Amino acid sequence: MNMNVMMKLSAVLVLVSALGLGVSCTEDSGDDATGMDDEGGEDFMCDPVGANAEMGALLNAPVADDVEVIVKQAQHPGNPGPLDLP
Amino acid sequence: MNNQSFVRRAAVSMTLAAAILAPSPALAEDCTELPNPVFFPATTLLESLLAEVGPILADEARSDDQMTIVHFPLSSCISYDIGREQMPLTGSAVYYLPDGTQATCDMPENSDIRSDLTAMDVGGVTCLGGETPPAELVEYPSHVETLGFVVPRGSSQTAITATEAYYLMSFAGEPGFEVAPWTDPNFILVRNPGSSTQLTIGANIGLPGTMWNGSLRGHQGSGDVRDAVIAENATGNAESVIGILNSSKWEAALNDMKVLAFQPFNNCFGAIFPDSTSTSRDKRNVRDGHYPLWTNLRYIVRTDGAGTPVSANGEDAAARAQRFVDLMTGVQSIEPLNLPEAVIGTGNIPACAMHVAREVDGGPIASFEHPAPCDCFFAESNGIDSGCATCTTDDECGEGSCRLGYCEAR
Repeated sequence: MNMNVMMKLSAVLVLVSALGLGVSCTEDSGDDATGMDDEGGEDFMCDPVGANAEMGALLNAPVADDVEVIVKQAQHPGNPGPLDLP
Repeated sequence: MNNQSFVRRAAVSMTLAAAILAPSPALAEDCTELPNPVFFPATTLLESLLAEVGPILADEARSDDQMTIVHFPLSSCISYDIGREQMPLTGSAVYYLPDGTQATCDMPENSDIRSDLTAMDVGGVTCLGGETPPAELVEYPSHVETLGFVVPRGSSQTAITATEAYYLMSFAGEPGFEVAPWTDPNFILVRNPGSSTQLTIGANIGLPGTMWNGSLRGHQGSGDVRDAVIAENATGNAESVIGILNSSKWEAALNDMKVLAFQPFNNCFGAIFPDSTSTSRDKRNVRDGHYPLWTNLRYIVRTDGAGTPVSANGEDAAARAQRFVDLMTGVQSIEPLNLPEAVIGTGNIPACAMHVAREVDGGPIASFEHPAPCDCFFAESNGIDSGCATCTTDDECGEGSCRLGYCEAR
């Protein structure tokens, strides 16, 4: 298993932890909460690592229960970025 | 001169021309006649903080430290160009009287006065499109300014994703690329390519601030965006309006506008506010790395080959400029100026309350430990119970340190 795969797996674990720790959502917490995009392309999966592993980990670190998180139904066409934006 | 600089130089000319052509208030002061002036073209994001600091420094009882901060409110990179190229200062400026009154002054015709220093919210390298800044321009990092997307208070919108922002700023409502409800470019209120707000947000939405769609409604200063957003509360268009702004501006206008939660690229769980909630004031998500729309203020001082500050306006002017920077970066302090308190009070974050940092404007964020943290003071100053004991000396704090009146963990 190379380092890149390991880092991505770690970040996924961080994400799973974040969701498991009870992120409070103020709107619907459907598939978007897992990074799936209902409106855009098929099988899109949000990448919690991105171009910089440390920043990815910080962005996806678990948040406390009192942090307000809004899971928004995206209003743009296509998949969420940052890749393959027109 | 690179292309970005050329475009901004044209903007400077137009800005200064507008200042000259605009009707000046009768009997405006001559800026050069003010006591101990510090000529300071700088980002409009500093306006709120200067309103706190300017009156203190203007107090004539301050004797050796007395100075009048003559602020020319401009976009970051335009300020930088004026200082770097040592353009003569023209038009009007803003300063504060000791009682806190804001006043304006005019530069005399054919003045040869140049800037003593500048300040901006991005580094020189960003303004120069990646070129190395001149060695004689020394940058002094200061506090963190939070940025964000704002809407009128009357809007029902609560969040925006990085991808939505990319579409807004790239396509400006072009059919097939719309992002509801922000589909009319006349209601998408941005700044200009020299604005640190636009450059920093651009870096985090995948579209450089120099490449935003020309149909968007541009503004010279952050105050102009604030006023334009607020005005739409009364027009029936509030739902269509979105702007970009800094926290010191929106926090002073919370009755009329609100900041949106933002979901960055590669955040896989949802949009979050700079603060922990839409109504709190703790900047928790900025300070811990969840919310990436922020930037460091920098003061820029011109030096000679030996690192000594210099000014075209003379040695005394250079000394005042350096003293001002020392006070504004916490290197020196004077009563009654409590810099961290002033920074926090204007919606900003002192570096000592940050747990992340970045080396490149708008670039990757990394964990960071300030050598003298002030988390307790930051929380208490924002009306949040930090749980920290109050103190006057380190002896009262066990393993920790007494700082700004509270026992910090280290």
